Amino acid sequence: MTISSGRCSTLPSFRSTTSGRTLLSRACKQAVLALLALPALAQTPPTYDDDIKPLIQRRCLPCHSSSEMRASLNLETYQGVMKGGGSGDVVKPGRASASMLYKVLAREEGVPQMPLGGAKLPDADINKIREWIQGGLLENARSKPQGPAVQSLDFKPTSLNKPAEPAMPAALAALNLPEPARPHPVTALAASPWAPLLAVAGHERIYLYNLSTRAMLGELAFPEGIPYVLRFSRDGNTLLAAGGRGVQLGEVILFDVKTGKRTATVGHEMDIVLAADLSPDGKLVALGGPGKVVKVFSVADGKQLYEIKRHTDWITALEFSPDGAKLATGDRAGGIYLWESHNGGILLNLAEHRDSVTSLSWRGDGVLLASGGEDGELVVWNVQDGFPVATDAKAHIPKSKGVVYGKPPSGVLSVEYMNDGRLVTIGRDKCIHLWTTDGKPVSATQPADALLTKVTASWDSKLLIAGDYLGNLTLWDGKQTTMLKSPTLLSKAQ
Amino acid sequence: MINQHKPVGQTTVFRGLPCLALLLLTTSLIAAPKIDVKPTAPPKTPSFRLDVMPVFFRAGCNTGGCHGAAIGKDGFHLGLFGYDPAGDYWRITQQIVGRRLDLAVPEQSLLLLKATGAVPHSGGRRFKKDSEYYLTLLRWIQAGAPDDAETVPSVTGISLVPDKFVFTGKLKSKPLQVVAKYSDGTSRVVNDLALYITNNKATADIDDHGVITAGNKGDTFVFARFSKYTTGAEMIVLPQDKHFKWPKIAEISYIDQTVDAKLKYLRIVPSGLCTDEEFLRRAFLDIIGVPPTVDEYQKFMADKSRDKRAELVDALLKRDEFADLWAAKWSEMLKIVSDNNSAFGTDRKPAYAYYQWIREQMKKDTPLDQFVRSQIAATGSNIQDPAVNLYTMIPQGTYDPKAVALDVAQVFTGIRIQCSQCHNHPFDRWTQDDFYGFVSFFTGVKRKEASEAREFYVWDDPNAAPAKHLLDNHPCPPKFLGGAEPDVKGKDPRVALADWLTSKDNTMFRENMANRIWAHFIGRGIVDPVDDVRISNPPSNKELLQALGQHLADYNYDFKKLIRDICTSRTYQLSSTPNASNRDDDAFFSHAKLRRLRADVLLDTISAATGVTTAFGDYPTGFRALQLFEGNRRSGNYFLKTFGISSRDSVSVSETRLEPTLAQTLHLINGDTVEGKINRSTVVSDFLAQKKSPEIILDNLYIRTLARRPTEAERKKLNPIIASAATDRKTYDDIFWALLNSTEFSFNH
Repeated sequence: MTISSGRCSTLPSFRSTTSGRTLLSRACKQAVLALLALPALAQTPPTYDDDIKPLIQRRCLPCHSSSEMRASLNLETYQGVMKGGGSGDVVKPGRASASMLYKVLAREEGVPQMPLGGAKLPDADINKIREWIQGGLLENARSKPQGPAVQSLDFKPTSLNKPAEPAMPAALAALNLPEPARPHPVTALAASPWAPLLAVAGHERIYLYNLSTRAMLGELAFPEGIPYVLRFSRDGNTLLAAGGRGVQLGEVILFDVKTGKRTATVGHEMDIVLAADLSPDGKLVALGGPGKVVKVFSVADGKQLYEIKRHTDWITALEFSPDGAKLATGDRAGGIYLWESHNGGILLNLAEHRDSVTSLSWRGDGVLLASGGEDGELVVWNVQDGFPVATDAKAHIPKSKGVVYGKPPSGVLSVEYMNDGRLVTIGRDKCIHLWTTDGKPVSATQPADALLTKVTASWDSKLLIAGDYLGNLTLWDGKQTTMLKSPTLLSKAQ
Repeated sequence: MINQHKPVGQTTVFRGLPCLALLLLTTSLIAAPKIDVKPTAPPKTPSFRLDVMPVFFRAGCNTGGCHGAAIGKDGFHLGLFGYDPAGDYWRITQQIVGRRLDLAVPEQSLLLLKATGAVPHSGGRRFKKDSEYYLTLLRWIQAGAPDDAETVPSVTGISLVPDKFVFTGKLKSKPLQVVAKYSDGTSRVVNDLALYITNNKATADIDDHGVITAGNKGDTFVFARFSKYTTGAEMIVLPQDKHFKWPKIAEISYIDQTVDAKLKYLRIVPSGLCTDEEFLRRAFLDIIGVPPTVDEYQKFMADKSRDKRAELVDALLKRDEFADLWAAKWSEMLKIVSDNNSAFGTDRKPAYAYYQWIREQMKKDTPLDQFVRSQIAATGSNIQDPAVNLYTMIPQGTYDPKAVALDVAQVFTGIRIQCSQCHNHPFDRWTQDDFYGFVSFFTGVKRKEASEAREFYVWDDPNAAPAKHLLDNHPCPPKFLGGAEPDVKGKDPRVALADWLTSKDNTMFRENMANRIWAHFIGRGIVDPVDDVRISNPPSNKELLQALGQHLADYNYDFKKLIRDICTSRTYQLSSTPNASNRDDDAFFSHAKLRRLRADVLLDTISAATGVTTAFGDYPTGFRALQLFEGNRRSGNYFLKTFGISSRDSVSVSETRLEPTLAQTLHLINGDTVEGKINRSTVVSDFLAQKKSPEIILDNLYIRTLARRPTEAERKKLNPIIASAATDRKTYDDIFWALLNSTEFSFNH
């Protein structure tokens, strides 16, 4: 399901495929995706013996047979193909675009154009070879597919990280914080994955809210400044809050959900923390912000383990995969990378966004990653091969009356995979949008009065919650919307 | 209050913030973050466009070196000089929610902390915490940083009061008032929100509040900028000269009247008249671009008629070389080049056809309005109808309506609208709307291939879409610069443009044409450079410019008549020798200006003096440099290049460079041009063969180079040298060489 650490040896080729892939046009990518999605292919997968060998016999074997062995490559037998040639592997299971055999036949740029000096193979034959590679390099009808073959993208609910008893705050000590002049925009928002608990960012504080009773549970002080990130740990026992003061301070604080007590303080940045996450095992904290560097700390001793300097702009989003093996990070220039979370080794570059990445969210089973950007795109990534499963460039285009010139801001501002595998997003059209697990639109709310800033979903996936610029919350159960006035006012009422 | 727009009549000053509110707000800063101050009468919330953005403008936040840069600065972008209010509002309030504004505790907004230098800021501290600017921003954030209603008034103009001031006596300081007018009819004094510049700090300096400090004597302009407007006020500092006496001089024409009026006002005494010899050389070189021959010299000097100068001007205006000179000048401004690029219509054949057409118009006295109109509204083949080449002389090939619009504006009105392509012009009145509206006159121009490979057919597609505004892509229909939107539906908009541009009432056109002509003869434009007309570059003598423009229009754009006016004026005939009072004057025409000859004229003058022609690539022998139809583009003459002949890369007059360089001097001394021509010249050898006296030979050499006889002092020095070897050609060649290398030779004076 994931790229195991044993694959690390293939890292260089991963990189080369990534850069090679950027040469492909978008249309080409779509075509590839369409191919991948064809159900018929899965029913009669091509095999070497039945499909491939007859196909390459006449055009390839004159040079690449046991008698000729040009480039030390023998395509005459299945084992010969697997063994590869003088330059290494010619096929990689499930990854046609990284397989030299496919690339030379498809006559991609920068590779030998095979068959050398001859005409290109018919497109149907080249497609057949692609299917064969994607299908896992079957030798014959009895073989089992190798490697990360095309897998189902259906969501399999998981009880990974489920706690014995979902944590809810006990009576929290009352805070005597001065009331701000006006409500603070909801800069961060998080719902517990296992309990009806909602955390909402306020000014120098975090409001806790019971989604079942719709009552305020209390506040956590955040004297560090403004929380820009709120995240519950995967077991729901810890709340991570990160933020700070612009050009002054940035920190990550961990709270025990039950007691409201601080359990750790991580990082001491010169500017705010804009993106942060706690690894599922609770051992690592990753953070990033205007400094353009992703830093990963050990929670136990607060020491920095490593940093990632690959990003060229502010770090705007990051999230550990549900199994904790990978870390996805996004920046303000539109770059997204996948890393090995234990050492920061690069896995993939997910190149699609042309403007700031605003939000990243892993699906519960770790198969898909969703990203939103100020370029207006919602992208669902297959993290296995780094290809988008779906891209929607018009996810949040504001509806307007009459002719509008220019491009109104249409950014996707916050994306989140719900516990049931569906996807929820908000954007600059001020609407909450609901999507299928693979990024097909389902339904949406009417535009809100104020700009929606963050979105999340309740533990039972029944309620969608969005915060806005005026500090209010919008609750949506898929049919009806309810407005909750700013938590500031709510707490006052209590 | 910043946002209170009161009529100017009332003596409201922007700084008149109620003291009470100031006190209360300052107190609240100390008590932050808790704010429980409730002013009894809450002041009006500052408006983003009317109050907040001017603070960014004044504090320099949105300049090109800071957040106004196209990619912003340190991650934060503002529209350059505030051309994009909606975008600025969005970026400040919503681009990164929570980052720039702190709505809950406004004092902690990064915007304020950065601007006051409370946190590290590349731009340092822009204003203090106790300033009006800070309070304006703070109060706006306190109000929830609201956007403006769509009905928010906009600035419609600004004025400086007074718009002219003369420092005469002991007064050394004068406050000016900057008044902004708004679309709702209100006005407001914006001294503390405007930006100021002076054209001459030494004469009149202006501080951040609009207060002038007078300095050295002179006449200059100070400017205030606010919103998208720039306006100027003339500041005159008169010398404390009690002995100033205006001399008795005869004013020949309206030109002298306006020039002298200014000089009298500024207490500058003009120089005396130039000699006949000086006038002869000056008129020849200015009007026809070649020096007088020895015969012409002798004839003129022998002429005892009182009107001989005017008669000479008339005679020169009739000569063919006049057309050569102006054809060369227009060819430079219209970028005639042939890059042998038939694919883009810049082949030699159409380029030559264009040149010939221009020369023909100059020769047959085609009025300037017709000359310009027939090019702008041109349709047809680039070979058969050469005027269409206005749309094909594009070395880089691709037709771009924006580039053509820029060129047309600059060549025919002297206005540079480049700036307003990307943002409103910072030092002039042109906005992006003006720019794209002007571009739309040219968006329909199409080219199609004609029967032969080098031929193109230029036509206008009246259904072409107008240019789109850079900011939001809204279409900008054709709009005259600073004028109306003509109804050109289904028509070629260039016809309407040509009519508007060349109309007699269009001061932009008539004054720019007049100024270009003036600058050619006087060596300096009244607006200078002649193709940089903008509010912040005002004319040095407005009345003179207006009079010249008016006369040009009254003459039905027969520009020879205007040239006659200029060349027969007393001002043109002034000596280049300055006096004590006008020595520093470079702008008011109190004496003739020393001007180095243009590269082509200089080379032709050397050729004429030595009687040795110059070979130019594949041009026939005898062609003068001034007759090269594409300048030095293909002949690649080293002399012309070194002396700054126009490269024709742009329409700018600065392409013709007149500044002296070391390479020029060295080339005259050591290069093969002067040396080679003297060696090949038969002037001296013919005289020697005819056994002419040394005196005659010396006179002749002087006349053919400097259009004068040697002075007694010169004779005294030269006679012993000649006497030592009176029949040796080398003696005369050395004198010839010295004359050709003299500054007097290479300058028009």
